[in-house]
Amino acid sequence: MHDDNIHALLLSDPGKGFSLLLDKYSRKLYWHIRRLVILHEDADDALQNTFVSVWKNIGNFRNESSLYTWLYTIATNEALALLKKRQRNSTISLDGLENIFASSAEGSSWFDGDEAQLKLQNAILKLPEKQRVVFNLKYFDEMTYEEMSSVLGTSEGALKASYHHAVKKIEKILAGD
Amino acid sequence: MKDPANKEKNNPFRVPEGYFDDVTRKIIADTIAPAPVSMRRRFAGTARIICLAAASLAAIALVTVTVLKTVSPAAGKKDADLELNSADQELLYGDIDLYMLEESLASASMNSEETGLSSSELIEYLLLDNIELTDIYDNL
Repeated sequence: MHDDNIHALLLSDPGKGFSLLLDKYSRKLYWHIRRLVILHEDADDALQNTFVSVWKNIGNFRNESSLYTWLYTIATNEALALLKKRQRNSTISLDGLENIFASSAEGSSWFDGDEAQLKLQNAILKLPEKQRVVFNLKYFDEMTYEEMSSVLGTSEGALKASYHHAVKKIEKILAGD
Repeated sequence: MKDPANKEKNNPFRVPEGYFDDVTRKIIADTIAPAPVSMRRRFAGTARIICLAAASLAAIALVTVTVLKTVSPAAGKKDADLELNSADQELLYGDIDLYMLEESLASASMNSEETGLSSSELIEYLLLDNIELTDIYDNL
């Protein structure tokens, strides 16, 4: 179902519209969040917070942006807020996660990729936070720069530059391996 | 955009089995269908608040009265007056006798000119009718 129809249904029959929204976007948003926060438990929390926030604020949504980018904005903010909270509590840092990656190439209960994917994830974790978000949205979610601009509130030019730098860094890291 | 199924194949992360069904149920429970509060529980909550408010008011009133009674200089005197009055009343009713009744009847409107009876005759009549002295006195 098209997003416009889901939005119309959200206004006329919120329960049904929200169920359709969940069906369409829960997996996509989970993977987007998971790639940012890495741990499943954190991704689960952020995903639930995202949809609770969507439910509470659906009345404020205006068609100025698409439903798709609005959802990604909320999910990204939830994920980044969780990362900040994690840094404050310093229970587990991204460097720590990198070590977990490194030591869990085989037999990990939460990582299912091959060696190339493991190397790529390690390289992505070395990027600054904003570049990581930009890289993930472009590379994994295949968003256009226009959509990314709507999600992150950054100009398309800045996003292009950020993605370019991210790719160069990743190539360098992978070449160094 | 990529097909979500293909994207998940490219995803190196694992999720617990059945996670997406569970999380959908959880989210719906937290949003569309929050657990309804039973009427009984709601009533118990309201009743508890009312009881607490009533108890608080009663406690405040009790403390205020106690403080006023203790602090006010007129309080002791008033109490003494009240006790005296009640003592006087007891004495009054205990000491009602025929003489007092005759005097009261004489001052009342029922005098001999109107009824053709003297006070003592009137009392005698009322007493014969099993009316107590105190009741006669009360009705004057």
